[in-house]
Amino acid sequence: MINHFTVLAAILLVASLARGETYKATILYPLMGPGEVSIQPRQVTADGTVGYGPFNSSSAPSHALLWSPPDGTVMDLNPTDFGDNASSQANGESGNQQVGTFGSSATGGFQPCGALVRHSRFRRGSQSNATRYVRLACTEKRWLAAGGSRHSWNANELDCACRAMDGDRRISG
Amino acid sequence: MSSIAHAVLWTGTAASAVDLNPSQFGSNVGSVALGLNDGQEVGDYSSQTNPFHAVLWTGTASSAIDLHPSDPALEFSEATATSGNEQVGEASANGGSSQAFLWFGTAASAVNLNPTMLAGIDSSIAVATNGLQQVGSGFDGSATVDDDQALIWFGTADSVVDLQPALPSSGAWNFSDAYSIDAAGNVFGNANGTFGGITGYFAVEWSPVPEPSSPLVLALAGAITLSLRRSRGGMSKLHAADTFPETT
Repeated sequence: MINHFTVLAAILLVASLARGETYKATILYPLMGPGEVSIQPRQVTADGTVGYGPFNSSSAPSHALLWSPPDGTVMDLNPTDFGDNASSQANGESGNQQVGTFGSSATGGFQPCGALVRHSRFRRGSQSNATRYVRLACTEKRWLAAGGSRHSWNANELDCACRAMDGDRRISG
Repeated sequence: MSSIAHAVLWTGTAASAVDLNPSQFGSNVGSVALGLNDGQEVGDYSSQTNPFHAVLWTGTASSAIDLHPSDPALEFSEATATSGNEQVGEASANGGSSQAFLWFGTAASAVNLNPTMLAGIDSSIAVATNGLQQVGSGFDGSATVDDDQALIWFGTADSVVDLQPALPSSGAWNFSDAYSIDAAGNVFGNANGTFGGITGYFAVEWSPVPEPSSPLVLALAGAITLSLRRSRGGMSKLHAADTFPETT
């Protein structure tokens, strides 16, 4: 005869193992670039996905991109008021608003430093010699902390300020 | 000209800007704000004596609280998101890999979330919280290719759940990252791999599977309890009869 307490213990064990710790993943939509280009997502929420990628060709300037559910239709968010060579990058979103950075020849260039702060993808590649933490940062001091090599810090990197928002409040540094 | 950045809080207009820089924390203090929610702002500051410390604000520079963990091995920290009474971010030793951290408003409350029992993962970052659960990514700090795996925590390092294995088995997956979590516990992020004939990034939602405890386990537990009660009831009557015979 099966011991009732053994059965009860087994049930409780199964219940505890199942306590909210099992997940089902749903692929919402592919994150395709405009053209055959490699893109980089930066933030995903129920409202959509933001990121950036070279526009139409791999050598083109980066454009901020927005992918919207349900099918991942991509929208080019690159500002049109700042010259033909403007580059941009979307880093965050909330509701129907997105934040990021832009630069152009008029502003002295573009450094996609905003993305270094919040996400991990840049920890390798061109900054592969830096530590992960430092690669998450964007100011001169952080780059100095990477190991002594001085990063060329300029005013454009202040653009990495605006990267998170909540309602009508924006925060930056 | 000073090149020290100051954290700033706006409320929709340039004129609303509030300088959050915690100059009370030392000399040559600079700061960066990285996230906000529920009237709280988080980020990090640096000074001549503190390289980078996680910081929590409640709307003013004077409200700044240094969240840096007390572990002397950890030199850098930053808080990247806040919700409810929780803040999440990361900390690391100088030259070391990131370790995900959770705070509850003070440095003393710091909880190291870095997983210790997930194969191939020795480093982590936490980037979002819904006030109860925390999400981010784990990775091998010495890897030379991107090997991030989306993670969710329930407040402790041991509670971590690797979300990447939940991705559809019909796909081939390289790495994944969790970026946000809503109030219902649904996690949003991306995965890189091949799925449905497409290779690249995909937006992903990870949803908690309803606990079997709801209908099934409760029904089973109820049945067992009832069975035990009946069984105990019979035994009780028997024992009562044996031990306490009726007296008239």
